[in-house]
Amino acid sequence: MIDFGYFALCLALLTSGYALFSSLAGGRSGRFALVRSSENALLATCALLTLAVCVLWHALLTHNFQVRFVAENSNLAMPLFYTVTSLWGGQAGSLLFWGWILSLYIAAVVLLYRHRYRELMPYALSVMAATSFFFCILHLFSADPFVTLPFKPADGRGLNPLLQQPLMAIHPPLLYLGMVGMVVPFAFAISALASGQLDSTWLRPARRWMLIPWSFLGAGLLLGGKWAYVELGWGGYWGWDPVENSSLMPWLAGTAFLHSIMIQERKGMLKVWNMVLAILCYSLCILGTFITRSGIISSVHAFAKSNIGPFFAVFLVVILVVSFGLLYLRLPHLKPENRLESFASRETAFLLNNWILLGILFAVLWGTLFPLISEAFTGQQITVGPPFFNQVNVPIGLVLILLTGAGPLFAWRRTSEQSLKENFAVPTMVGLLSLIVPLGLGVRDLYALISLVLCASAAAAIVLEFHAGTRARMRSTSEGYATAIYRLSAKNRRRYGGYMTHFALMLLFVGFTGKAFTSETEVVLQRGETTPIGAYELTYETMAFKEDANMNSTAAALTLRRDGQRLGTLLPERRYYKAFDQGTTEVSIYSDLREDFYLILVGSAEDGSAKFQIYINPLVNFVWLGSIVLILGSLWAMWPTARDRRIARIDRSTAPSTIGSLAVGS
Amino acid sequence: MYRHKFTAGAFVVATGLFYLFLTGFQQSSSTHMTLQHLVEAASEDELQGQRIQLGGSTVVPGSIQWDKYKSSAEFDITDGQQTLRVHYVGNAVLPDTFKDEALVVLEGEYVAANNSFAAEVVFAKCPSKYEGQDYDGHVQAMKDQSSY
Repeated sequence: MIDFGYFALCLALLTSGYALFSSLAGGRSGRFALVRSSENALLATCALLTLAVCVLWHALLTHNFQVRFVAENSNLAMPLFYTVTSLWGGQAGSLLFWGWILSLYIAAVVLLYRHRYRELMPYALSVMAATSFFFCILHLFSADPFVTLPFKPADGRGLNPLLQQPLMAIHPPLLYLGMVGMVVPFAFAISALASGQLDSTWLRPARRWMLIPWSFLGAGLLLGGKWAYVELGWGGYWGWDPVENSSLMPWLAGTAFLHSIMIQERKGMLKVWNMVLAILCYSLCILGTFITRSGIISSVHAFAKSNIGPFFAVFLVVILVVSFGLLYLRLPHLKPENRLESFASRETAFLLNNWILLGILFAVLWGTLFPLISEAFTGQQITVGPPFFNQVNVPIGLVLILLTGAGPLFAWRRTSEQSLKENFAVPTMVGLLSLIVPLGLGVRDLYALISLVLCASAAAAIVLEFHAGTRARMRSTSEGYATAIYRLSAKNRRRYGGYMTHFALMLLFVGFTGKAFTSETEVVLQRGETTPIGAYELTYETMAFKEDANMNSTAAALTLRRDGQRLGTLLPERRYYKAFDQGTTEVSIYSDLREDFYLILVGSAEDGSAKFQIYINPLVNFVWLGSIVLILGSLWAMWPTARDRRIARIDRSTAPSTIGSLAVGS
Repeated sequence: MYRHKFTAGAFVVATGLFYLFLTGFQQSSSTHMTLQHLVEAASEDELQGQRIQLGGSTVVPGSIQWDKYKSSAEFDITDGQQTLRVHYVGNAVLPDTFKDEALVVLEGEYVAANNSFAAEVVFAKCPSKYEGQDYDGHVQAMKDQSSY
């Protein structure tokens, strides 16, 4: 059975290699049959990798511990859910999972664009095939998931209990769906360069296929933060760790791309810049994978050192050389069709948006890679911690919020003074009025005040956009408010989905602002003792001990009160999993919109007293709220509209492949 | 005309960012070194006041001495050749992965007075017994760990 899996991987190497060459040959010669053949080869690759993944899943589910991967990442006692998700619990399996998702993306592109974008497709296919080929090489020569042991262990090592959390199980797939998918917009960018079709045609598929992975990546990032917050017990959700930064950077580049392509679509400007962004985005994904899996930069995320680093390094160099080489060759054909006419224009706002996002990207990249850079120059690895990232990114982030609110208020080309005054009046007023709240609560931190004012005014601007659009629609149709706002958003999904996403960003930033005011205390309590903590009162009621075959646990029960009112019972716990010799901290949190009361049981003594650590995290739930709105907004924006379907139908019916596929290219 | 305003503005912004970069660096940079490095530098008295990130060592089994409530600990680390005593002086609870033989990364300062390390931050990874080792060593480890 295992041999089937290995054999499938070998065949996949052949089919993806064939697809690479036949698509290139088909693109160069114009022979349509070759292109079709490469499409079929890519579909076959997908089928083969699906087979390989199923074989590995079968081995996991039947507890075939003779397979090394199964023995290392699962055991008999593991619940079914985690046995399934352990597919991506180790290096070899997660790489295979990556390669499989890649092949699924490619298959989707092949099937959806069977009759469209005929000039671009051959080269897009070769880029995607090359990536698939690269991963097949990895599967076979660097991280073979089907390696067997010379003996069959009675039980496997299993998954660390720290990782046996639903959030943690979904986190890798979401990130992979994000990082992997960014090959598609890259492929279309390269295909435009290679084929010479350098107008805005490539932007359409590129946008659609950037929005999808970008959304997944964002969801994965936020979910990872949520997991860290509720599981790890250090009271925070983002540590600026190199591995975290590795997935943030492609997201930033993707956001910049999604905005700047709008300028090319409308004004024919920034053609070279969009190419650079598409290349940058994908390169950052590969760089990120390299950083994460090679162990070259020390990080808390436990990825073991392996020999896989050089493969990714070489692949990255090849990508950069080929992409920028092609770009350089095509430079004369990528001249802008228009020029910037006014500072008070949406073009300027978008340009600034790109600068800012890339500013943050540069800061994060510099901080992440600094250990390597400093080692190259001084022989010593110097690392920078969270204070660096926060110090640089906070001011930049504030300008970003300003732009997010102000950008849509500018018109294309030039905004009249009258428009400016009208559009900015209400948001500015709302912003200034909103100062009352934090000032009233005693907030004096300048950054925090600016942040809250900007978030409030930007949120007001977005709400106004929805309102104005709805009112206009109500005037021309006879719809009620609710219907009008729905139809308005549904007919302009990109725009209003974008506005929703911006609103989500405001919520996120409000949450981030709260982090500046986190307070932390430690307290030792005897049973029955009450202590005041800020505006709260905490009473340590009792302690319970529990033991079973898997673990023993110490759980404390505490009552939380605020202003005399009982809010609830908190149950922080410390567990010890015997088989893994691993302790875990189960945090107990009382949440409301204002703040979180985050309680950790540090330890207990024989006399029944116990030490607790408490974090008060103001506004943190705005982060989770913002996450949900962000996901909803992205889904709304990427959903195909009736207009998209109509365009697709027209494309298909006029495509050369349907009109005269037998006559063309043979 | 626009061009000049634009470049002037860009210059101001760039300078501001550069300033933030520099100060941010100074505030939070730490030098990464291995235990071997640290011992050598300590003997030459080069570590005064330096913020150090100490990596590549593991916790000596049996050396962890917890305080009454397990909020802090003293322990020894080793890289196979040298050992060093560490005092945890940070605020946060020590990570769950912190235990005997765990691979740790510490951030803090070297205390010459009693030849120990005062760690403000402790990162710990699960002991990676399998991945990264040679295949034979790995197989032997698996055999030792289980019965078949």
